[in-house]
Amino acid sequence: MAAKGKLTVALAGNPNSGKSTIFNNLTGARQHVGNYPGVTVEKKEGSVVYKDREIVFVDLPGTYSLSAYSEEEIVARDFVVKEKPDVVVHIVDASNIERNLYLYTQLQELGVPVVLAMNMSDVAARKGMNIDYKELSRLLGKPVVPTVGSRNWGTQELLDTVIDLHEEKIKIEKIGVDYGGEISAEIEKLAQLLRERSGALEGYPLEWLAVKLLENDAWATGFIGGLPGGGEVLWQNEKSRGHLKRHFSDDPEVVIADRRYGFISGACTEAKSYSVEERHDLSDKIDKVVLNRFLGLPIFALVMYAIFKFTFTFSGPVVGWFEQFFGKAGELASNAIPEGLANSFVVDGVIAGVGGVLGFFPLVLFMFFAIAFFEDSGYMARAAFVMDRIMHKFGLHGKSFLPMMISTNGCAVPGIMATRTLDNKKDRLITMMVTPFMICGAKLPIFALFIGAFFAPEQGANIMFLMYALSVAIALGSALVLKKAVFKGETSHFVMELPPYRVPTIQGLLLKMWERGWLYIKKAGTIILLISIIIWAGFTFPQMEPKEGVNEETAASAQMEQSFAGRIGKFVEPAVRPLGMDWRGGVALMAGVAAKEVVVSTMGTMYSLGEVDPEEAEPLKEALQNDPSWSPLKASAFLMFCLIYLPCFVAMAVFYRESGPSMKWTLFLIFWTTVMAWAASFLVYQGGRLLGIGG
Amino acid sequence: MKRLNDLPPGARASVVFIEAGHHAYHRLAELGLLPGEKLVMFNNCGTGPVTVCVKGSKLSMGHGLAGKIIVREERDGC
Repeated sequence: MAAKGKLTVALAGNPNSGKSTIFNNLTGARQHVGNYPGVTVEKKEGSVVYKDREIVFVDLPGTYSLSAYSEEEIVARDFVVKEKPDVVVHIVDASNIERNLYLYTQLQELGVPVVLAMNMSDVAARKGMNIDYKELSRLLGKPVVPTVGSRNWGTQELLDTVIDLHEEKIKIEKIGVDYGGEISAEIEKLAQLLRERSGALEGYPLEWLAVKLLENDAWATGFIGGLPGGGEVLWQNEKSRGHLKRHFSDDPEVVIADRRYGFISGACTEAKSYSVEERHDLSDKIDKVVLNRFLGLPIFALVMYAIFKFTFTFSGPVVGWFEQFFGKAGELASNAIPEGLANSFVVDGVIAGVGGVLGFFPLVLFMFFAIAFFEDSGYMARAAFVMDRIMHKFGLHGKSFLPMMISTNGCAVPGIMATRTLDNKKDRLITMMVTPFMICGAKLPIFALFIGAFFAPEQGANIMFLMYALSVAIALGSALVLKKAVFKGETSHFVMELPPYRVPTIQGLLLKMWERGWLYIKKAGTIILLISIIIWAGFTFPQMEPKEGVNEETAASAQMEQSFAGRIGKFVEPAVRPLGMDWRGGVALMAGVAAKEVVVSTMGTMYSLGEVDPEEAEPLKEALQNDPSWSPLKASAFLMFCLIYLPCFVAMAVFYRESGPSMKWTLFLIFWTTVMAWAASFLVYQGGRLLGIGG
Repeated sequence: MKRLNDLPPGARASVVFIEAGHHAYHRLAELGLLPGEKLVMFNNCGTGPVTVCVKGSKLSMGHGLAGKIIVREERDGC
C-alpha cells in the first residue's frame, strides 16, 4: 500500500484537558516515549495509518501558555516553531473554554494550521453549557471538532479534519487577538526591525517574536540580543515598553494578557450560553471534605496507606514468580556451565544482579498503577495542597511529597524521576537530594536483619518505626539545611490547578503504568548489569588457591578477604573504626552501593555462610549474635550509617541524569550523604559509649 | 480592599492588583487570575494554601502568594 504521504501532527493543550486520552485514542498502543533532546521533558510519539496517510502524532507537554517560564513551555513552542508540524491539534476542555483558549491565542500567533478539539463536550453539556461549535469555528477562523475522549467520540472526525486541513479542503482564516492601536503600532515597529534582520530569523514568525519582546519574554530578549544588530531591536523594545507603560500605567505584559482574555471572552459570549445556572457540582462537595483543615491530613494518610496496601498485597505473588524465575534461571545456568569463573560470572554476576532489579519490577508496576489512579482521578493535586502547609516549613514544595512517598518502601529511582512534576529547578534539586534518605524497599532487609539480631522481638516494631521516623526527620531536616545554606532564595510560589475529579480509564492507567515502568527498566536495567559485573569482579579477583582441608564456606570467606573488595575494606577500616565497625562492615557498606540488599548477602559471604537470601537470614542473624565484635550499640551505629549513606548506584545514575545532567550536584550528593552518615553514626557509637550503653 | 489570604470561604471578590514578581504574575495570568477577574474563595484555613474558583476552575496557591493579591470584596455575593 503506497502511503499518500506522511503528516506530523502536534497535540497541544492545558494539563487536565484530557490530552493524553485523545492521544491514546488517536494512536492506540503504538506509542514511543523518550525525552526531548537535552531536557528531561518527556516526549511521546505515536503513529496511525488513516486513509492511506501515515500520521505521526507528537504529544507536546501540557502547558497553560507558551511563555518561557518552564521547560515544558519552551519545549512545546520550540517544537512548533522549529519542527513545523503540518497541523497542530489544540485540545480544549470544553467545560472551561475561557482559560483553555489562552494557550490558543499564543498558538495561533505561531502561524501553524490549528484544529480545535473541544474535548469533554459531554461534561460541558451536563454543566448546562450550550456551545455553538460552528459559531466558535467562524469566530476563531479555525475548524472546531467536539470530542469526548473518555468514550472515544469524535476521534474519526478529528482525523478527517486534520487531513482536510492539511490538504487545504478546509480554509483557515487568520483572526488574531486585537491588541489595540497603541500596542499594535509598537508590534509593527518591532516587526519591521525584525524583518530587516530576517536572514538570521529563518522560520520564526516575526509578529509573534515582536509580541514576545513586548512581553519581556526572557528567551526572546536573549535570542534577539544575541543576533547581529539585535541591540537595536532591544533598544527599540525598551522604548516601546516604556511608552506602553506610561500609556496604560501598567506593564505591557499585563495589558497583553488582558487583551488575550478579552478576545476569548468576546468569542465565548457569542458562542456559549447557559441553559441552567451553574451549581455546586460533585467535585466541590468532595473538595469540601478532602481539603478540610482537620480531615485533609487523615484522608491523605489513608490514601497513602491504600496505595501501599494495594501495591504490597497484589504484587506479592508476582514478585514471588519473578524470584522463582530468576532462581530457576540461576540453577539452570549453574548446571549448564562447568564450575569455575564463567559459571560464577553468569550466576553470581549477571543473573543475580539483573534479577535483583527485575525482581523488584512488579512492585514498581503496581505502585505506578495505584499512583496513576490517584493522579488521573484528580486527588494528587489535592494531596499536594494538603501537604504544602507542612512541606513549605522545610523549604520544600507541596508536590515534593510524591517522590518521597514513592521512595518509601518503594524505590528512589522512580522517586527521583517523579520530581519532574516540580517546575522550579531549585525545588526539584532539593527534593531529588532528600528523596534517597527515605527507607526504600531494598534497605528494609538490612534493618530487619540487624534489628532481629540485636533487639528484643517486642521492641522490633518500635525500633523499625523509629527508623522510619528518623528517615523522614533526616530528609526534612536536610531539605531545610540545603534550602538555608545551598539553595538560598524563596521557595517558588505554590500555585496549581485543582482539576475536577474524574473516573480514570483503565486504558489510560495501564498505558501510564507501562510507560513509567518501561522507563524504570531502561534506566535501572541497563546500568545495573554493568555495576553487578564490576562488583562481582571486585569480590572474585585476584583469585587465590584455597588452603588444604578447609570447607567451601571458609574458603569463600578467605577469598573475600583477599579480593580487591576485601583489600579496600581493610584500607578503609581506620575510617569506620570510630563507628564501631571492622573491615567487614566497610566491605558490606561498599557493596551496598550496588544495591542496598547486597549489604545482607555480602555479610553472609563474609560470615562463611555462602549465599544468603536477604529474606531468610536466620543463620546469619545467629552468626552476628555470636560474633563478639558486634553489640547492640555497634548495630545501631551501623544501621544509622545504612539509613543515611549514599544512594545505590542506580539511584545515583538517575540522579546524575535528572539533575541536568550535572556532575557537580552528583558529587555534592555523594559528599553530603557520606559526611552526614559518618557524623550520625559517630554520634550514636561514641555518644553511646560515653553514656556507658556498651562497647 | 483586602488581601486574598484574608478573604473568608464563600466570599466573592474581584482582583484589583497583583504585587507578585514577574514569574508569579505570569503563572497566575495563564491560569486565568489577573486584575479585573472575579473569583470566589473556596477554602481558606487561615494558614497554609488557599483555594479559589476562577474562570471555571479551581486554583490552589500558597498563603504567601495569596497575600500578594489585592482584591475588592463584593458585598452582594453569597
